[in-house]
Amino acid sequence: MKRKRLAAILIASSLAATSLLGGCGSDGQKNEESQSTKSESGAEVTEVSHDEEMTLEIYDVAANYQGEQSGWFGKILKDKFNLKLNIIAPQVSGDGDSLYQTRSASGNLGDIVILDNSDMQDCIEAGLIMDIGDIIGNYENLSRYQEQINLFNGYLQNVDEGSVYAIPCNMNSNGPTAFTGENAGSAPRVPWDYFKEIGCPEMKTSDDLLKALADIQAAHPTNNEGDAAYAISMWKDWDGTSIANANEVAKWFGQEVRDSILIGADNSITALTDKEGAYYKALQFFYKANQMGIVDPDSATQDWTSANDKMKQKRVYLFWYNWQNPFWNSIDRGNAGENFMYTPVEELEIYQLSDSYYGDGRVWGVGSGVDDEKKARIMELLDWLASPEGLTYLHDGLEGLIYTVNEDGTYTLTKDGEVRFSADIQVPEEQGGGLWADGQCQINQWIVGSAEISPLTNEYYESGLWASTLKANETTTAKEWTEKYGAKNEVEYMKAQGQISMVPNNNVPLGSDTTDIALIRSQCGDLVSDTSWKMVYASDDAQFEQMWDDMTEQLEGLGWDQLVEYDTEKYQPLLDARIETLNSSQES
Amino acid sequence: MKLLQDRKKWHSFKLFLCVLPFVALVLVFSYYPLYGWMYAFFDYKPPKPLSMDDFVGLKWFKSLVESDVKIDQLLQVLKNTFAMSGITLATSWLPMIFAVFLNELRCVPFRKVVQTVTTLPNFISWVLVYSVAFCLFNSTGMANTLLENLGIIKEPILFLQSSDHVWLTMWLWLTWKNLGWSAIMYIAAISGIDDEMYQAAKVDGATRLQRIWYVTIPSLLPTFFVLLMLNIANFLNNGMEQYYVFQNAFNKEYIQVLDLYVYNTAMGSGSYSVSVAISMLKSVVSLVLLLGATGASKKIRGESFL
Repeated sequence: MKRKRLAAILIASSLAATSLLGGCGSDGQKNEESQSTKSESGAEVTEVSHDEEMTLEIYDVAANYQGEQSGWFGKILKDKFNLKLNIIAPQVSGDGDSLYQTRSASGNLGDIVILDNSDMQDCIEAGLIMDIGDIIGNYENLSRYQEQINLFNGYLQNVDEGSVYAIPCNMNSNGPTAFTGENAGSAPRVPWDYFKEIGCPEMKTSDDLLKALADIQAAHPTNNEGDAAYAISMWKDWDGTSIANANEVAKWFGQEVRDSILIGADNSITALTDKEGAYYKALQFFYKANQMGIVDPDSATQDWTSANDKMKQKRVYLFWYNWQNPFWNSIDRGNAGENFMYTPVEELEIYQLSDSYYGDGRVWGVGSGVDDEKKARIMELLDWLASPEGLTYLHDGLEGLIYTVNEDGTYTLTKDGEVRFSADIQVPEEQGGGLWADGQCQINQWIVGSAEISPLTNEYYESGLWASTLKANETTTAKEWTEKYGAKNEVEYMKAQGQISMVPNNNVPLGSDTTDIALIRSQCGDLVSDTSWKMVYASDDAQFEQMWDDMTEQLEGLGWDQLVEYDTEKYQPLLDARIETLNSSQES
Repeated sequence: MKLLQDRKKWHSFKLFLCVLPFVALVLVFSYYPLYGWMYAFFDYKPPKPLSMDDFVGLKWFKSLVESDVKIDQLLQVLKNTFAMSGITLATSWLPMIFAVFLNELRCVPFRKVVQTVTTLPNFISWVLVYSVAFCLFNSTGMANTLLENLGIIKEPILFLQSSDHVWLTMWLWLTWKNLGWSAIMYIAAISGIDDEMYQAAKVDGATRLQRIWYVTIPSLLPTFFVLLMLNIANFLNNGMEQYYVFQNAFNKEYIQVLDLYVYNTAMGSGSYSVSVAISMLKSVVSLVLLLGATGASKKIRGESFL
């Protein structure tokens, strides 16, 4: 223990995170005490008494809030389970990496942990996570997702058969290839009024789309306030191994960028630097756009906040992420015909992952340092979080305040409920008081996603998919669009046209990088991202080609081939799982 | 008991006790972390604790120079670091001159205003400085709008994307931010200069410029040299915040200094061992530079500062 603590202090001081020193020391001691009782854990569900108040520490990579869960959700936990949640959020702490290191070095990450898949494998091997395989079967709500949980744990390395260390996030029971959303993850969306102005041209290729955008920009060089507008505006601060915006557009060409490789909808793998690949096509798309003068010249220097401001001011005419829509679209604007809508381009083959039936990239686990009593209370809590009651609180909020129950048992959003993410909504004192948004469950992760059907209403938990909400949201824009393209929404249209390929969203824990690979990855990533930006702004075709060729040559010197080989091997189990899912769903 | 009887020894023991907390601080915060250097010789990856199985010897040092592309990259990074630190060092007399002239201002309220205005930027974080820079110099920012309205340019100039004169512009930002703050030390030193010297010079008929040249500046030189030495020791540590916020795909080749290189390649990807290896090299180079500077000072001025 002393050595561990020493190591923790060392890392912390070398990273100048001295403020964490006190914390890791005491964690280490606590762990020592509790480990002695660990081995006595029984196979039966321990009878849980709520007499004593208990505080659970939850190490949560998804949380955007650090500290005690307060407000209305905190009150529910207190009243129901006599529990308090202390959320430890590496995203908020300032230096998340060193928080992770100091806590893991001390041997106790948290009572409950929520981690990325790859970190989970490391933490299990480091002995930080408890095996709950002996008791999870006793919990009714969690057992409903036994198939997915077992499948995920089966992929884990160096663990015993039948053990359960991880519970995936965001699972549902709609089947592995189901997709409930109305919008594809990535697709070209353009202001409907402007698109009508230029006569809703029929577009065959992405070049036609650029031409339409150029026409729109020529007609509207500024927004209504007179600020310069560009059809395409990008931002630089989300770049990883390649530039984030190009990764999204790559999905229009049937492939998904994952690290250094491209995964096709047909489950093929090629290197990111494949000249026939979708990433190259995406860069070409942006390059051609820039040649036409419709790319915001600030794209390579602005951050997300600046780009986002432009979206809200209609200084951008092309959206690709589906969650960009709400930055402009609203019911009022929809009725005025101004919402951004999908503008079909025949050539596109949209790559779309299905809903996260198997869970997404994160998992829940129970810390190895908890004693039997705590373990029982944690499991009780987790089971409740996966229960219809818990999920209704998590996804839909409070009855009366956020939604009302209709005669047929379905829900309707209240006026407050409609604006709950943007307005300050006061919660009545007897329900916990404070603002609704502050009192939400700050864990910011769900064992079961909102794409699950609630047995209470027979509708999805997701309020955007309730019949009542869909009816209220029917706007003029949507009606006109439906009339023109003969489909209820964009996903229906794409399905009818055979434009979208549903890729099963299998959840396989992928190993984390070795130090060598991590180093190669970051060096190559910098080069690819930098070159990509330069290519977008290249002055002519020859320069565009030249930059690409120079980049591939330099990448070789940095160990790119080794990286591609590593990633190909890493993602192969995921592809195998997808193929298996597809085969079995075809059989049935 | 013997100690207590010997008054002189007791006295020095008391003094030692007074110093002890500071010695302890130095040991804990300056020497103890050196123990962390061992991470450079291991393949360390959290959350697994270190074990001898992960010992890799000099692997990370070698990996820095294992291919031509990497060597070129490292050389460019060193070039940037030396160039930008060099410019800063070569202009380190600026705050001194600034302080001298500020001191000559007779209108006290004006002097105070100038001093406050020049000191304030020091307290603005680099992230904010960049947002100010972005507002001023983006394609629709103030600079471009002004130039366009005056009819000087037709297309906006992309100042922030330009890879020309990066070293110089970075130096300008740094000077804008630091000038007033660095001058404080000199202003304090000036107020410590004996007034009799000025009066004597006045009696001898020295003009104002002569008083500056023969009294003020020589009195400031010791301060200047101490600060210069500190700067030399920090030659390789030109920080990364400034370059981190200003970097983009177009200027990265010239803006990437050693600290930023460490961050971009190693820290971001969790390669702690590599970053420790580089920082070890940095410490060694800094030590050599410092010893060189103090040696030079001994030769030139006849006194060293160590």
